[in-house]
Amino acid sequence: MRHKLLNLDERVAQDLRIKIEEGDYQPGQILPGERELAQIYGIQRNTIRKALRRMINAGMLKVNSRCGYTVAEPRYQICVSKLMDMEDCIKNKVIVWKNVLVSQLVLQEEEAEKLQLNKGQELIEIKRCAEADGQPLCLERWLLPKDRLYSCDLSGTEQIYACGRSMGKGPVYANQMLDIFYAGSEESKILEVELLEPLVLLQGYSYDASGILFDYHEQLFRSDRFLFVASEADKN
Amino acid sequence: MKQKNEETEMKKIRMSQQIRSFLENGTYLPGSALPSEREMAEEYGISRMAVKSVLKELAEDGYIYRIQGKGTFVQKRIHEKTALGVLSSDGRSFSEVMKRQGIHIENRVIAKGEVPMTSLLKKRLQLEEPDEIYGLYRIRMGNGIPYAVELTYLPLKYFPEVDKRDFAHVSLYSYMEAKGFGVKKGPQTMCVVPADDYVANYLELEVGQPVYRFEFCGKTKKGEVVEYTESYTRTDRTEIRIQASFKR
Repeated sequence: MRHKLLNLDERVAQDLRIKIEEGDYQPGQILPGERELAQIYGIQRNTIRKALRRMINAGMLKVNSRCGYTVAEPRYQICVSKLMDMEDCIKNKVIVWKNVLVSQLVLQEEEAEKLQLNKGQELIEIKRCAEADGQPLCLERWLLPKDRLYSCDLSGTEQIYACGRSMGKGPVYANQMLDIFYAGSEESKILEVELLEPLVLLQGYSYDASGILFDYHEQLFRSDRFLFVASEADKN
Repeated sequence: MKQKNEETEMKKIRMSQQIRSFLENGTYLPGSALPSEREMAEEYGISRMAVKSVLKELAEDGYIYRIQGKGTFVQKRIHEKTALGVLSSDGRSFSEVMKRQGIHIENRVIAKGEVPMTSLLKKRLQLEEPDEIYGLYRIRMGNGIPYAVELTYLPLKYFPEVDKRDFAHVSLYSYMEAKGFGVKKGPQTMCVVPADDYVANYLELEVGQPVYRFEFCGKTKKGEVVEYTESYTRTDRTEIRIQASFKR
């Protein structure tokens, strides 16, 4: 149990982290082996192994028996203090929407109460899963008030905020909440994660300039692929 | 005059506590409108200005929201949680928010002292080779229950006497401000990672259970970086609320 500050393995991990951050080691690149790293840093192989373990834990490295240690893909960044469509958050990859379901529904009492929305309101529900490079990343559910916004058919693959804005009714602010959600069987199947894997749940209610609800959304992110950023500078 | 101010402060606190409890126990339902400011001023025996300031705090803590021209409404909460802490994106520290909820905050210092420079600390703190770094590791507790482990690093050149302070009882930010370095928190990043031995031990978790890992730097108005912190928080004791906006 560590009582000192910054043990040696932690220091090595920090150093490797910067090397990855600065691009000295690229995503997918195989790191030098444990013995070589021990030589480079002039420390015991045991300590190197501890440092590498830390980085695997933090999601920065992957390990397999064939290749050794490889640099993981950097996490996608989601700015939670800005209202942005997924395609605007992840600009270096093409987002493909899978398992898209669009339906109209009227909220019944129980669900209306759970979601704190008005019972009997006519809504459009969009369920879909964002994929990039063939890997499922985020499971979404959107509820959009039918009368306010949409007189046209939705395919479900739209950039929802951009759509709203193009009609002059885009959301201006939102109250969002982050939480952990443990994957059930449906989520684990679609997101290709283990049952009860911790996912990050982002829930939000967004409102237009008149203070009227634009959408309610739930986004379930794979917790190993995403980094969430909140910045005070983003507030109006 | 002083006595009158203290009285007003007391009444404001009472108003805040009562509204919070009405929200928790469902007297005020989510989405419903609060009484008008005038009505509340009469009810609590304080000025409208005082009512406004209490409402501002409640809005910042995520309990209510205001719509221009329409009034003040109860925040729609997704699920009730026994939240011990709320992280907001507006730069306030955890402990400020929790104090307002009437939760008793305690800090315990786990380790402190000079730490060797690493390339990461050098980059985050914007330092050069001979600069020295001080590490301060703390557990933050609310009502005696640990909710966060914080690993903070500061440049010794700004705070040469920092080791003499007892940060179990003094707020780090108050100390920094007193030394002339008023801190503003930079953008915070959060990701979910499995708790390692160290974190699991102090947060009373099993190794591998998910924790929130926050990272942020503190800067002064002049742009000097005065702190870099990694913070690990129990996910079950934290509510994370963010106000998002659209900027053109």
